Amino acid sequence: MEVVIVVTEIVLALIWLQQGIMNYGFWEGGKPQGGFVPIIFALVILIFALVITFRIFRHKLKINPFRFNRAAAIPVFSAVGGVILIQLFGIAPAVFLFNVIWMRWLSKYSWTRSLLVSLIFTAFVYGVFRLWLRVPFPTGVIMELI
Amino acid sequence: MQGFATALSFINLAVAIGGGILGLFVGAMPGLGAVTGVALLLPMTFKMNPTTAIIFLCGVYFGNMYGGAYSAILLNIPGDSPAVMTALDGFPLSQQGKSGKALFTANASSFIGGLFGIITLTIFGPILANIGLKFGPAEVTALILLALTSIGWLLGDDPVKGIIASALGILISTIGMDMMAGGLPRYTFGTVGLMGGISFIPLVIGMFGMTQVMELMTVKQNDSLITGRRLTLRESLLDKKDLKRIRMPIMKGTILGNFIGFLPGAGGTTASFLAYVFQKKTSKNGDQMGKGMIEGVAVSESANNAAAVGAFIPLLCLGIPGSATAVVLLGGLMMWGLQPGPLLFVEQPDFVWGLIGSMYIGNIACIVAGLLIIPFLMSILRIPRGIMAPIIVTICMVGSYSINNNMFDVWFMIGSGIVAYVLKKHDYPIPPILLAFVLAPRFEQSIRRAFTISHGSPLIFIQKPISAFLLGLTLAFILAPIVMKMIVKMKNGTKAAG
Repeated sequence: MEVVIVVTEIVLALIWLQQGIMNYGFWEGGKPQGGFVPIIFALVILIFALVITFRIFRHKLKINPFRFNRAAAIPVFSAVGGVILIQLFGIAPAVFLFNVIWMRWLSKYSWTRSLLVSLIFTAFVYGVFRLWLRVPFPTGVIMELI
Repeated sequence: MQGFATALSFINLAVAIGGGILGLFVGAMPGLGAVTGVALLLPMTFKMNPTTAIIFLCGVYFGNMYGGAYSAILLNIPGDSPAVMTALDGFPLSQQGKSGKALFTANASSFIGGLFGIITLTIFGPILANIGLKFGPAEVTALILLALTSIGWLLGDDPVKGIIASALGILISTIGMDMMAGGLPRYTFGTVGLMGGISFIPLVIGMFGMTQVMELMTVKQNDSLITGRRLTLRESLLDKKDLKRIRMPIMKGTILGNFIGFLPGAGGTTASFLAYVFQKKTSKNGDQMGKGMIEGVAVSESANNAAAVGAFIPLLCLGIPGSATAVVLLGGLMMWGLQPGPLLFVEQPDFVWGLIGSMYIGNIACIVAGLLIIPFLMSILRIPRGIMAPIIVTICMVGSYSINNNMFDVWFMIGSGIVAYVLKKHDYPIPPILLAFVLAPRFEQSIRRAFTISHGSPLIFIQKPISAFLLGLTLAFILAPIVMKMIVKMKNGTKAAG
C-alpha cells in the first residue's frame, strides 16, 4: 500500500506539472503566471515522493502492514447509501431512515429505541439547519413524484 | 465609558448575549463555523439599527470562536479552521476521559485571549493598524511561508511525509478559478463541480469527521467514545497544577495571536498554528504535544480568540478585513452605510465605542454560557457508539451539503474521508493538508502580487526588513534541526575518537 500511495503522489505531481506548464504558464512578462505556485509544489511532492521511494527500496522505511479493516468501510458505504436516500427522499426523511436503518440493523437496538432516537435527531437536524439556518433541503425524486 | 453606556442599553445587551449564545451553538456545529455562522445570521440584522446589528454579529463571531473548539475536542471534528490545532490535543484528552478539563481550558484560554485582544483594541487600535499597514505582499508572503514551512516540519513523526502532506494541501487549493488571471478555470479537468474550487468545510469534515467514525467502528472494546466511568464536573475542573501549566501557553498564544490578528490577511488559522508551533518549540514537553496536553488546547484557543479580536483593528481603523469573517462584517458595515477607516472613530464614536464596549460583554456572556454547557457537552461522550456513529455520519453529510447546497460536496466529503483514513494509517499527518489548504490561496495571491510590484525581481523579499527577517527565521527554522544533528554527530565522533 505504501508503494501505491507513493506512485499516486508521483502521478498527481506529474499531472499538476504537465497542466501547469502546458496550460497555465510559469513565468511570463516578468511576473508569475497561474502555474507558478502549483508547479513549485508539484516539484516538492515529486522530490519527496522519490525520497520515500528510495527509502522503500533501501528498506530503511518500516513498511506498515496495512489491511483495510472491514468495519472501517461501514461508515463509507453507509454514507454512500445515505446520499442515495437523500436523492430519493430528500434530506429530512433520509436522515430519519438512515438513522433507523443503522441503529436497528447495524447497532442492533430495539425498534422503539431506534425510531425514537432517529425521530428526535431528525427533528433536531430539521430545526437547526432548515428552520433556523434556512438551508434549503432538497425534496428528492420520490417525494417530488408523491 | 460612552461605549459602555451604548453597550449596556437593554437591546444591545440582549443582542450581545443572545448573539454570543447563538454563536456558541453554530460554532459547535461541525460544518458551519464563524464565516458561515455570521453570513447565515446576517439577514436577521436587516431590521436592526447599525450599532445593534454589528453588536449582534460580533456576539455571534465571539461565540463561534468559543464553539469551534467544542466539536474539535469532543468529536475530533473542528468547527472551523483555527480549531484544527485545538483538535490535535483536545480530542486525545477526551479519549483519556479528560474532556471536561479540555473544555474548561478552551473556555478559559478563549476568554483571556479575547479579553487581551479587546483591551489592545481599546488602547492601541489606531496605532497598531498603522503597523499592520507595513505588511505588504512581500511581508505577508514571508509570514505565510514561515507557517507553511513549519507545518510539515513539526507535525507528525516523519518530516518528509509532513512536507508532502503540506504540498498536497497546496495543490488541492489550486483547483478552481485563478482569480489573478481573471477567473480562468484551473485544474478543474472539465468538471463543473470543481469550477468553484474545493470548499474547506467538506474537506475538513471528511478528513476529521468521517475518518473519526471509520476509526470508531474498528475499536471493539469500548461502547462509547471514552472508556470507563461517568465523568463528574468537579473532577473536570482545572486544579492549581493545571492552571500553572496553562499560564505560559495562554500568554504566548494571546500575544502572538493578537499580533497576527491585526496583520491584514493573516487571520485566526495562521495565529493558532504559529502559536502552537511556538509552544511546541519552546516547551520542555513539546514532544508530548499532539498526544493530549492541555497546553496545546490553551495556546491555540488563546491565539485564535486574540486574533479574532485583533482582526477588528485593521477592519475598523483601515477598512481592511483581517480574516474571512471580517470580510462578511465589512460587507455588513458598508450595507448600513458606514465607511470603516480612521475617520470612523471621529465621525461615528457612538458606533465604534459601543461596539468595543459590547465586546467585553459578549466575551463575558460567552465564557459564562460556555462553562454552563460543559456538563451537557460532556454527556455527549457518554452516548453509545451505536447511536453516536450514525449521528456523526449524518452531521457530516448535512454539514457538507449546507455549505453550497449541493450533493457534490457530500461526495467530496466521503472521498476525502477515505483518502485521509488511508494516509493516516501510513503515518501521513492530516492537519498540514488542511492548514496548507487554508493558507495557500493567500500565499499565492501575495507572492504573485509581490513579484508583479517588483517586476519579477526576488530582491523585494530581501530589501524589505520585515520580510527579510521572516525569511531568515524560516531558513533558521529549516536549518536548525539539521545543524543540531550535525553538532551532536560531531560531538559523538570526537568522544568515540577520544
